Amino acid sequence: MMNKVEVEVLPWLSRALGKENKVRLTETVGEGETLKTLLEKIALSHEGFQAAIYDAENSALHENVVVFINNRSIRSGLQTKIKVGDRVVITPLYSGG
Amino acid sequence: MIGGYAGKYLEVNLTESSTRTIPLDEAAAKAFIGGQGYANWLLWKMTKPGVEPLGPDNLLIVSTGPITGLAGGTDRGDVTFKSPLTGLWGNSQFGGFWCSELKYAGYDGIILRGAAEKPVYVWVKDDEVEILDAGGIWGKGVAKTDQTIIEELGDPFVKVLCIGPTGENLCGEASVVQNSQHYAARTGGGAVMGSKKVKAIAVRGTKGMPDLADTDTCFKISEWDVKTKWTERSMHRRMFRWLKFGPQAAHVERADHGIGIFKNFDEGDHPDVPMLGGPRQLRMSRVRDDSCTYCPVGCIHTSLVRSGPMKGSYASPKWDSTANIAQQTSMFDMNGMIYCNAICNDMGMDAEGVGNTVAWAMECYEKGILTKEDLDGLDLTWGNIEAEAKLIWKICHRDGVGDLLADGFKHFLPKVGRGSEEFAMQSKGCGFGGYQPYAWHTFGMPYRWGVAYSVNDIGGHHNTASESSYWNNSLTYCGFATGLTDGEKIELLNAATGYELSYPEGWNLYGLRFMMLARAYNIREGYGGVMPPSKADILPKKAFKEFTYGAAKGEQMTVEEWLNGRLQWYEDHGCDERGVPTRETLEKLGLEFTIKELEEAGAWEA
Repeated sequence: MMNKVEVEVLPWLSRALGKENKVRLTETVGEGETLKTLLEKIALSHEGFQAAIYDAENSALHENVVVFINNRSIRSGLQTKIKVGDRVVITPLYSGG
Repeated sequence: MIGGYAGKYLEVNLTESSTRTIPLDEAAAKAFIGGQGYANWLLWKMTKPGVEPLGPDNLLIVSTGPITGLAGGTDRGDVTFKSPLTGLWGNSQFGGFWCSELKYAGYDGIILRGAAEKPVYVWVKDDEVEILDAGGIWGKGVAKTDQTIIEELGDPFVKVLCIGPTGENLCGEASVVQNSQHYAARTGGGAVMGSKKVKAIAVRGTKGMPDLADTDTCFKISEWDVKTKWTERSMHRRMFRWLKFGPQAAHVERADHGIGIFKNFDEGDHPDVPMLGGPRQLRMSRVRDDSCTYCPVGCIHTSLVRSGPMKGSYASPKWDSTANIAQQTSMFDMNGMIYCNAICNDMGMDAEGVGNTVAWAMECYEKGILTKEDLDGLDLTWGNIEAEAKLIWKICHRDGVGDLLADGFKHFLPKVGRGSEEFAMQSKGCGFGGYQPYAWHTFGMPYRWGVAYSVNDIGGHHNTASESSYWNNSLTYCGFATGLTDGEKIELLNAATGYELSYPEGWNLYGLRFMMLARAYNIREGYGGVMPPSKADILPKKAFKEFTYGAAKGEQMTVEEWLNGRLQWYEDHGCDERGVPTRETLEKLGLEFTIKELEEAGAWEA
């Protein structure tokens, strides 16, 4: 898979992409790609995605959004670097009991 | 004495009908803090390998921490023992009002040892301790037990920790119960207490909170915590206003995520789930909101069935307890859910655990593995409230087929067999919580729930597989309704005790220490008869199914994904690929005292 990453957007955030269940996307990535630039790419072709996932003005994920990259929860927010072959999972936060 | 601690444990020897106090080991308190951490250390030190879970040499340790009793959210206790359900470390926590009272009586915890000849209850009033006859309350439900003891002792401020008939009958899923609402539910602590013929521990404390190292800072942080409980800082506040609609709000929430556990984990979503949800409960049945000591939140949403054949049933449904007895059994009936919850509550039964068993039995019935005759005539179809309620009652009382099922998965699965293992939603003998295994754990751990279920040191339960859980259980502190960050909890601990723990370094180190001591204990005890751990840290086949409906459609966790996640968990926690902590890990964590016994147990043998 050349220059690609896999992105999964899980319910209910998947509704921002018009679906009730999980959405799988494959996105092209380039040199110096970050989570921010990746999300911006997805937002270009999906109205409502940016508003559901991140605060563009403050450059931060919404508090109820959790992102895993290669099974690791990210620490440095939208500036997290993305590389070819990464698997990105975007899920709503849910609390437990 | 270090600030915050009472300075001693009370040991009750039921065989000899004697008591003694054991001074708190300050070095161990500094290393293991209190609650779950300290109790695990006690269990390791005070028991020999291989004790029988229901034998007199097992201990039941009820333990508080240095900040217990200080503020709202700190009235939490830890119950530690060797589990009859799993043969592993047994552990569960409870809230309510008892733990503060114990602290104010001058104890950090109570240890039950041996076994009485006849039913007794322990009465602790400050320095006076008595072992009293419990013949008149043996066989009673937890509400009647609570009420009777308080009346008998003539003091309305007495707090009672007790067992119901389920514990008396030594059922594997028996709980230890406080105030009929707070359950140290999982892994069978109630059975251990029942094996010692201890019906209850009643406490009254008048000495107040022990001295603190920095009282002003403690109160500043506690005040800040009260203010943050109702803000967006509180994780549970953020999510759909849980604390307005109750934990029952999670039923709809989970289905929206596709991670509910409908029909024995068959599907993650269901169109009828709003029938069980928080908004409906608020309208139909909720009658009061209760809190634990000093806590302003009121997250215990007590419900009453107001009409119909189950009228008068009264319970405090929580998330997992009702996910497992309602979602998992396809019971989309609010009154039925409250009714079954009420049976579990008053009998002192773990509703989550028994729900796993009932749902498995329903699937066995559907597949013809268990017949109506096997089930004593019960028509155990999905969603049949009467059949489910009767089966729960039978399990609590070891009646008929209930006797087969009462000991738990590890004991009845080999007897039933015929492929039923494939859909027994449990790991190492303990049933799963209310989340699909494929789902991602989004509050603290970068793994799927299936990984958490498989590596959890008490077996398939969903909590207690993260450093944060272990910390909350050791401080003790309610992780449920708090706005304090983990760093602020460390600040509160330091202010209470005078410790100088750092965040995140100290938090992470100690959290890992707590977890690895539990894992080491399990290995010492033979890991439930299956070694190495990687052979026992497994999931049933159904955990890897593909989902076909609603929000869960298309979801699937493959075996490869789960194995990779599990290996990642092992590596992240200093274990080898077999799930055994390395010697280097144990030394780094200050757990070198475990190495000799682990070598004797063959921990590192190929």
